[in-house]
Amino acid sequence: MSAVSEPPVTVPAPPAVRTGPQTFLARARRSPTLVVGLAMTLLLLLSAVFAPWLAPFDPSAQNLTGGLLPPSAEHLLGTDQLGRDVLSRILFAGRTDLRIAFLAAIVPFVVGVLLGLVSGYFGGTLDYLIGRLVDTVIAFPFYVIVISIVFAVGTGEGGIYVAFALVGWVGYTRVVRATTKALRGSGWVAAARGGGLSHGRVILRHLLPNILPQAVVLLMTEIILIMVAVVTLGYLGLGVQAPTPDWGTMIHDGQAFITTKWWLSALPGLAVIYTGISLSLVGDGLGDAWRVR
Amino acid sequence: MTDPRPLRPRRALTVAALAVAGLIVLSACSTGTASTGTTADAEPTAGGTITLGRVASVTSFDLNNEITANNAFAIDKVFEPLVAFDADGQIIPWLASEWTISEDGLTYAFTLRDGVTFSDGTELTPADVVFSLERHLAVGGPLPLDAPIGSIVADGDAGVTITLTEAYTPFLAELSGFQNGIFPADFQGKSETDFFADPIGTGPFVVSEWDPAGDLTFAANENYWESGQPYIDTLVYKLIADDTQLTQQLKAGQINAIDEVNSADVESLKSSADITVETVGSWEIEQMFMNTTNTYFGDRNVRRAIAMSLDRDGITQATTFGTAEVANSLIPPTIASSANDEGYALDFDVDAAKAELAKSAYPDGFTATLLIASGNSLRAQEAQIIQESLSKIGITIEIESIDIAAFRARFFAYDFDAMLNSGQSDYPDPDALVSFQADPAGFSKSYWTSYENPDVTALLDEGRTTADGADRDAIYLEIQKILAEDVPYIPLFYPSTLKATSSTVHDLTVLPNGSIRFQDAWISE
Repeated sequence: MSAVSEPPVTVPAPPAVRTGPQTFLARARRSPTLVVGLAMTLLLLLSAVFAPWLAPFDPSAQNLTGGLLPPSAEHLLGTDQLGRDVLSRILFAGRTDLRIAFLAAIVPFVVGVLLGLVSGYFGGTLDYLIGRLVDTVIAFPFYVIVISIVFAVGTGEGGIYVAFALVGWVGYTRVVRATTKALRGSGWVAAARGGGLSHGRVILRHLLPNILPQAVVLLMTEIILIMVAVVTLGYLGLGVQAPTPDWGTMIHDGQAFITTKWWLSALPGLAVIYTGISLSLVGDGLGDAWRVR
Repeated sequence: MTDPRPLRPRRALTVAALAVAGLIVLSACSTGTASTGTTADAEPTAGGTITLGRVASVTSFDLNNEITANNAFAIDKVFEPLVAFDADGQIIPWLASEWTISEDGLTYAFTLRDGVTFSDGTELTPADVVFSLERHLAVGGPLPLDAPIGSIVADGDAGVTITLTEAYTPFLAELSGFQNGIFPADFQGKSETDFFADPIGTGPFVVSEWDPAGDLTFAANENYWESGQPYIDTLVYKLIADDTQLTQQLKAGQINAIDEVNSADVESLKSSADITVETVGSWEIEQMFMNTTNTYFGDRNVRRAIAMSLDRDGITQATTFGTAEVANSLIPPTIASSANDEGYALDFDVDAAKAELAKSAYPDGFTATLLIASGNSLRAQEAQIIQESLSKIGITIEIESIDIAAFRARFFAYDFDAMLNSGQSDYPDPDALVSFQADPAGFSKSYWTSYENPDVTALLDEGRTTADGADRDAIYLEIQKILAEDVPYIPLFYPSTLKATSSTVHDLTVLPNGSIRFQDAWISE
């Protein structure tokens, strides 16, 4: 027995292996980015959905002798030039802008993902043709092509949907094509084909689930992009038309009073920033949870 | 070596402190010597450039064929008429130093001013006057010489006699318009196109560089008849299509005058020590025009209902910030025979408007388009008020906001349902507005509304031949009464002419037609 006093042994910690949460949900719950993003987005969506109940006034009710009032108890965020309640208008504008941004994102998402899958899976001439089409659309600066399309189709909501349906799909196609091309050489794809599954089934049941997280993360970015574009078009007078409130037209209308009533432009501007941050956090958080690069 | 970066903030602070101290000292000095820039009776200094920001470019100098302000206010720098009007709208001698009118009102004998030459140095002769006015008679154009002219005859070295076939009261006023400027006989042998591409007139400025889709640079006319004038060397018309941009650039000192001041900016501009705002009563009337060939707007009851549903006081207050006066008649109070105080206009009353619409062929309302030019925030706001007001009587208005060039093309082609625009008298006589806005045979067919009423036409002819006085006033009041009841257009308000300059610009003469005389203007510093 050695009663010799030994120096206290510190047990070394086991080598740091990746022992983080293993499932999507577990990772999601531990991602502050995603949690905060989702909370912010939820708040945003609730305010948009319940705008008619939350808004203290009718957003288009004018009071020609009560214009440009500063924030007060009656009008929490003041009134605009035509005496309309700014808070009510910001809430209703959010409803409009978010609805358009989400709706306008659908068609490009579906089209872009499908074209990317087909292009990456089959390769060859089809891939070449789709690739050149993508290059052509990307060659135009985004706003130049969007504004031209809106001019051709006509201002307002319809023009926005058409414009984004025509140009928004290229991002998805590029990303999905690259991933699909990498995956199609995998053993499990060959196995699925060898097992007698059709191309369609391989693409939709085997490849799509693998590329979808990436596409959804991109979708979040695209929604922000479209929302900002809708606001920009509104600011330029090419987007949402009066009397429907929209953050872009509000920023534009407030511009004339920027030195004296800065909040008229700043508040809708902040709403745009808030929306952008919420959706970015969701996108980032989803990316982390799904371990999308 | 030590990193120099940590020192920088402190250095910056020192510099800032010195700068602030310097400013305090400087401002102390300037309060001591006071008001060098604003003294009204300071001695003008020669030289310098005035850059005037404008929302539309100059597209043509053919004075007999032009009408819009973007061209008119460039044309009047190069070509001058026999008589002119001053800032109060009174007729004053110009190229003609004096004139006599025969008792029957048929013969006008003008004497040309001594020593007037064109900008190339050739002398102004009666032949030039005869040629210019005859060319205008031949051309007709958007602002024709409506006077019943029998003959225009050169009379010796300096006389021109114009004989009318019947009395025509607005004749001198009509001659004072920019469209009756004088140019050299036979265009100095050039073709009309060549001449107007490089125009030569008696005016204070000559065109030196001109991009019809962009900026225009004038140089002082070395041979101008008022000796020593103009004081400035160069006048630049800079195209800045957006009115907010205009104000911003003026504030930033990139330009030193603006042609159109957004009324929302007047207060903030006035409070700036570096900027002077000129406010002058104008001959302009902001109006909503309705195309009477349109299915809905062709219905008199519809038009009346619309007039009754608009709160003109509210519109004026909300959009012009106290810079304009509510309009109750076509002719503004700055011109004789205005019916502004007669109470003819249909009053704002939503219930009456609904009742009126019920009498029309479209009692349940309809959808129509209101055309406006983009880049004009005032009209964008007005349009929203009109949209909201008409929604209360069941009329849905879609606002179509298009580029100003496209906007002009559209209404010149009578291609609109309703539009917001302004009427503008080109000379100080009630006949000018009435002829332009209510004569179905005129150039614009009643300001592109195609409105026609035989009673108005008859009165209009009578007004032209009736001598100034109570009888003539009665005629124009009657015309305005009929127009207020038929409502082919709704006068909304009378804007002031608002011009803003940096405070180094002095002695601009702002005219009631919205133009500026620059020959007296000078720049300090």
